[in-house]
Amino acid sequence: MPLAQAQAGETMLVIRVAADPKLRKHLENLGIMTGAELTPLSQKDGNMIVRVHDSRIAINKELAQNIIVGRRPSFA
Amino acid sequence: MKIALIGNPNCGKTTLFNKLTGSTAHVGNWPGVTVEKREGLYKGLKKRTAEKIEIVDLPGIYSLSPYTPEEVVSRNFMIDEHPDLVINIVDATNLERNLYLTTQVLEADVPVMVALNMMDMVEKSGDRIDVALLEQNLGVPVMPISALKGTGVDKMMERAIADCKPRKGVTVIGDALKAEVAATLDFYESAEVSSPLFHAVKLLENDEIELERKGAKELLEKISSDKDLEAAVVDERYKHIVTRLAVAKVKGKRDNMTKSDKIDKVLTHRVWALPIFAVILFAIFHVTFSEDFLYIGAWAGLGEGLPALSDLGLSEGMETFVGIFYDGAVFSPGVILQKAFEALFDLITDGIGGAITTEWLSGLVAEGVLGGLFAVLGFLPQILMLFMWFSILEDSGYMARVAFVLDRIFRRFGLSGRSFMPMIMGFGCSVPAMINTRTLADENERTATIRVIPFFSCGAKLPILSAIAGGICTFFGVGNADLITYGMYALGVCAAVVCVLLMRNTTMKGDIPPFIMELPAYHRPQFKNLMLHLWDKTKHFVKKAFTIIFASTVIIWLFSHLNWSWHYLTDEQMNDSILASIGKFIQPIFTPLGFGSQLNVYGWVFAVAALTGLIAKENVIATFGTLGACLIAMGANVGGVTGAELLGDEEGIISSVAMITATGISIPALISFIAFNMLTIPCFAACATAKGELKKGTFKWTLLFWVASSYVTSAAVYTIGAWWWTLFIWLAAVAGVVTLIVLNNKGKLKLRRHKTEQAEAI
Repeated sequence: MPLAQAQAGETMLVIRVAADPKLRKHLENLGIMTGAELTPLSQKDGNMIVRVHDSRIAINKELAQNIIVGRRPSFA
Repeated sequence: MKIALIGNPNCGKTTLFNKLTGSTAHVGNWPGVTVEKREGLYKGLKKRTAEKIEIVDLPGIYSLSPYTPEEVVSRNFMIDEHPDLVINIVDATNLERNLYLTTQVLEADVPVMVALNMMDMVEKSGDRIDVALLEQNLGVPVMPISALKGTGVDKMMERAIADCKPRKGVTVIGDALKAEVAATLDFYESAEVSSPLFHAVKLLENDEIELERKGAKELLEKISSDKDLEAAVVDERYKHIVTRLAVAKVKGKRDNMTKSDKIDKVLTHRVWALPIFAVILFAIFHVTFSEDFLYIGAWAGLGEGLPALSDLGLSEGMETFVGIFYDGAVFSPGVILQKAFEALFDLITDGIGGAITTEWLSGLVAEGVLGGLFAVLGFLPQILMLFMWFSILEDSGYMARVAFVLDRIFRRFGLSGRSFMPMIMGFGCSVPAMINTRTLADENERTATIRVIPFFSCGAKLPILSAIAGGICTFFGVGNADLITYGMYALGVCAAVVCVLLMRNTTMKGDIPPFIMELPAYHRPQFKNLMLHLWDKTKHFVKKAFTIIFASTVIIWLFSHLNWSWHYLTDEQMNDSILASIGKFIQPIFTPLGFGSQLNVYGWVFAVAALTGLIAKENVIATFGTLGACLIAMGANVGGVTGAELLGDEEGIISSVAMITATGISIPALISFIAFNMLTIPCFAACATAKGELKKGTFKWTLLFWVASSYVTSAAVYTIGAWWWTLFIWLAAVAGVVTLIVLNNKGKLKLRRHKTEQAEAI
């Protein structure tokens, strides 16, 4: 599902990032890339704050819709 | 010895730089790009080392890929300038992300040291970092420090000087890409470039700069064979970081929410974020500018009301003293400071004015020089205070949140939330505000933002507002000076919004780049940094007052006391002066704005004041002071204002009253005059900055934009104010323009659709 629909507080796994190369590179630099874990912290009108590797990143709605995330496989 | 500091934004790099260099820092620009370059000399260990240690602060970056000018600058410096040591500052509270850059830095053939910053925060949160293990796995010295508290910094520098040996680049990329790295490394080694490994890995990352090298593209195509090497490299880096490096950090037991998260819960709240910001903004302006602090006077006004200053029956000296704090209401701290300054200047002016007896000289000194200078310096406290509040908001990390919160709204006007910061800084001074637009990625968005920044009325324009607003209230006895001032601020913001909408739909179209921004952890602003900021600002302001403004006031005084054959004119003969004839010449231009030919024989003073404002906005009121004195001497009907009163008039209210009486100007024309000065071409300094920051060829259009927008707005203010029914004409004109733009944009869309339809048909 798109990151924009993820629940606050639940750690998700990035499945795909749909963005042009430049933007994708920038997201990679910030640690947002396929296989990375991120946790949405809060949402405001679709704009969200996520936690990636101990840092807080603010992302606007359109971008959050282009980052596809899934639940982490549970090891329990 | 040359040491470069490299690291992520918000990692504490600048704090460390300030700590290392103290006051020796020199700020400039990197050649060819608008990226700030900071250099300085290491101030510690002076006795033990004969050699000077140069410190270069590279811009904050997340990686060394060449997508932003900051990244290119840092990369070129590291590879080509051969610094003796690169200190990579790593935010220990955010180890994994920060080490991503470190893995790239290590690939270059330069000596590297890692400074593990914010160690105190790590310990506080209950985490622990095994520094020795990290050093072992990284293969370069690692020193724990706290740049904020200064702990470990000296030790780090000692080791930096002692331990700095030439070093070969090392990569963390493992077996998965061994063959590919070997192939590209071979290519670069045979080309004999410096740091071949760095270039080799960058080529695998599909790096734009590397691909320009002859033969590189072909090589990459040959070895990539459908594999996404770029993603693989990133993956390898993070994998190495997680498995080998970040293991040095042992997370202590704690709840999942950090302090910053908890603060964010409130300050970026879905509903309350905007109201909270509005309250903070209001509080800042209230504390700085209000003459009725906490509305004590207004509250009291509901009952008996507080007595005015003159009704207190105080002795003269006591009245002056109390007048600093109180007049029918308690002043806000900003106003108290300003009044204190005024009182001080009064003393100085009285002392000097009395000492000089030669008529023309005392005129020049008292009116020309002191009048102008004090009119400007009197506002220093309030300007500094406003600046201080914004610095605090910025340093604490709150401004980044505000940009995020406002992003949604700004998008409606065609801007991203990032453009908010430069705009709000515009209230302080346009120059740093325009420089701050460098964070905007889209060129057209940046141009549009730079153009409207002067509309956010800066500190220097405040005197124009308060003097004329005060003049209107005193002379016409209507309205509330505060209300007019706030209203004019609002007018500026409205003009900015309208102009941005207009530009983004016509000449400055473009996609709004997506909003991604790291939100730094909240921290208490540092007193020392704040003072450094304020001191810089004070220096700049005082320097300006004693150079540009000083020179302008002297020139204005001279031109108003000399005729074309260079004969000295007394104050009474000012209408024959050079200045008067220039003023009269340009005066008709301002007729549609209400302060042109319709005024009487003295009306040219407004035209001159507007003209001098092009050099520095403080000049407008300085000119009022200089010319007001002449008007009084000429025996013009100035409403009983005396020259002595004028000298003690740092706020310029009395000189504006004198000018209003002498010229017979109307209220709408005065408001239009304020609006014109607020929106028109900003001061020299701002123009020079805009020219430097804007894309080549856009500056002349920017000048035209400023002239046009101020002229049209002022004309609208004047005509609607003077004849209310013209409102309908203006509305019709606006509707017409909007329709044209919308039709044009739609029309283009149709045209394009038409073409694609045709293409599909074929």
